[in-house]
Amino acid sequence: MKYQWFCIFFMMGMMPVWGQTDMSIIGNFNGTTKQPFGLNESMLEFQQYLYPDIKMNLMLAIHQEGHAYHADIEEGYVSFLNPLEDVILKIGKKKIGFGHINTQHAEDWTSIHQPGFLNDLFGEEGAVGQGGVLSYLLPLPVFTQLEFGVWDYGPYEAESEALMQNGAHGRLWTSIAIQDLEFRLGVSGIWDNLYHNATGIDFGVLKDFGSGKKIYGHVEWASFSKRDTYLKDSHYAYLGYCPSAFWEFGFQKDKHQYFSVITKSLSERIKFRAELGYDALDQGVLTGIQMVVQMGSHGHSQLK
Amino acid sequence: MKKNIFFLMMVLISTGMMAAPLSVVTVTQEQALLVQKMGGREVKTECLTLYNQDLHQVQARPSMIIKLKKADLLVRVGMRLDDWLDALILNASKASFFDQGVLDLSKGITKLQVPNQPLDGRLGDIHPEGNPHYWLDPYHLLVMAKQVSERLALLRPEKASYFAEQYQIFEKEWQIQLKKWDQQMAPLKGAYILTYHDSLPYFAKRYQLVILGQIEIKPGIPPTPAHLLHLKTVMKAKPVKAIFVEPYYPKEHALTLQQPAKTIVFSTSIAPNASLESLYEQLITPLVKASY
Repeated sequence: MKYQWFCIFFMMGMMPVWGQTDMSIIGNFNGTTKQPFGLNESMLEFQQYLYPDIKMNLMLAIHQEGHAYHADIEEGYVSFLNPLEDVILKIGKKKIGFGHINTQHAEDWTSIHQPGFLNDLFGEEGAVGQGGVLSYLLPLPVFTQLEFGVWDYGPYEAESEALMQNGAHGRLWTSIAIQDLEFRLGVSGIWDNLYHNATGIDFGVLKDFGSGKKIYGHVEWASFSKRDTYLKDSHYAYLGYCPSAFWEFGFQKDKHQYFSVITKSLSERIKFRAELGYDALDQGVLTGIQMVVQMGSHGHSQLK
Repeated sequence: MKKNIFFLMMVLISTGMMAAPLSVVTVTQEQALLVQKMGGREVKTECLTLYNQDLHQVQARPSMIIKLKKADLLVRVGMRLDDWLDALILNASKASFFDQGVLDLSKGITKLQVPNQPLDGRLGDIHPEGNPHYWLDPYHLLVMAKQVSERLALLRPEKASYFAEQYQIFEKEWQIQLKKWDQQMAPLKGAYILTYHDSLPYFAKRYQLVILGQIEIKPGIPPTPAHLLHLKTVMKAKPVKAIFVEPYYPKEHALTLQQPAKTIVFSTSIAPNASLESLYEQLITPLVKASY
């Protein structure tokens, strides 16, 4: 733990040296039925080109766990953006491209609570690994990308129904635009060397009216097995409507939870969110409020 | 005969005369029209945004990557107005985009409102490289056109003289337009105008208009009743000729302010197949009418 804090403070101390580094700090304040309102997570994001087509991204996170804070490297990877035409290679620690929402950070989720889909399948952290991923843009008239990664997921834990030790993942996804209506479809698979595996399918649609006004939906389903024995499955669905760049109204459904969510953005730097939900498993009402603040520039490197 | 045709075809191909037009993807409709003028028959343009779209709010979509993949040149606004392009460039994995394949048209422009203080939320959503609405000054079209012409010549050197000729034709025509607009705008020197967003500083500086303020409190921050009341008070002392509202911002605030001051509220948009001149006509004609 001391080592992690040392790294964080060392990097913060180095900031003046990296005059040209694109940096941002994200604060995620939230409160839910199970936890009083407070600073729940703070994230430092650094990105810089190391070479014309090589880029480094580093995301350090400090999470709240009970009354203590825990420092972690959420993601840290180097992207080789054109080692071959149509190929991208990323090496380091990454959220694995299994489905659509697994790659998103907490401030980009459509709800305050972590989507149950991730928790159900992969645990609190989602699917994360140390390794490398190769993306290949297929030579087709529509966007179609094939992704293959090799990962170290972490140590063996007895009794756990999660990904462990070493493994791989693959994803094929396509996106088709018909005027300003965009459809996205993906299939994913992930394995480890202890015979755990998950397969999933995701579908998204976006109608962009311009000027921030849009309506979009997303559905994702996956199942988790060991050898050929089914262990669990989960799903996630979200429908959102943004009448302008400042407001979003959404409805989210996980396997056991339902949420209605309202988001108000004051500017690019600060947004507020409130949600009201119901957990069918606990048979309890879930409420949450959230404030996401951002200092510094945007990442702008993610396709959503 | 067949041999002769075959031979002629081979010669044409080898000299590049039958080369496919350069494919150019632009961020705005205005850029697409400009590139088409500069490239003529030697280019084919495609635009990433809709004609009424706020460039601050564009969502990068995977399907746009396919457009980029086919492009020989990507023309961007720059000055962080089209930051969303970065996600597309990163994911397109195209070698030329890390070299001569991207043209940032803001590079040749003398920028206005470049902040000389640390930026934070008190200033609103400020662009660190200055106000990015430089293309609304019609004189800047010449600077932008020159850059486009030079880059096209770099990408297709065998057509350099054609691109230079296209530029000269455009410059000649545009100078006539500029002269006409200078004359039309001359009586408006010193006139007060108001804008919803701070998008006309380059235009106002060129024609010596005085921008009294913005309906937005700060860039990217919508107005409050108190701010609108303040603008009304200011407008009583300094009558405003016109209020400019881009097509993607709400007009109701401007219409509230319009009544007592007898000002006009106007907007611009470049519809597909419109001419480049029409953008500036939409800016200048209402102002000229308002001056009577």
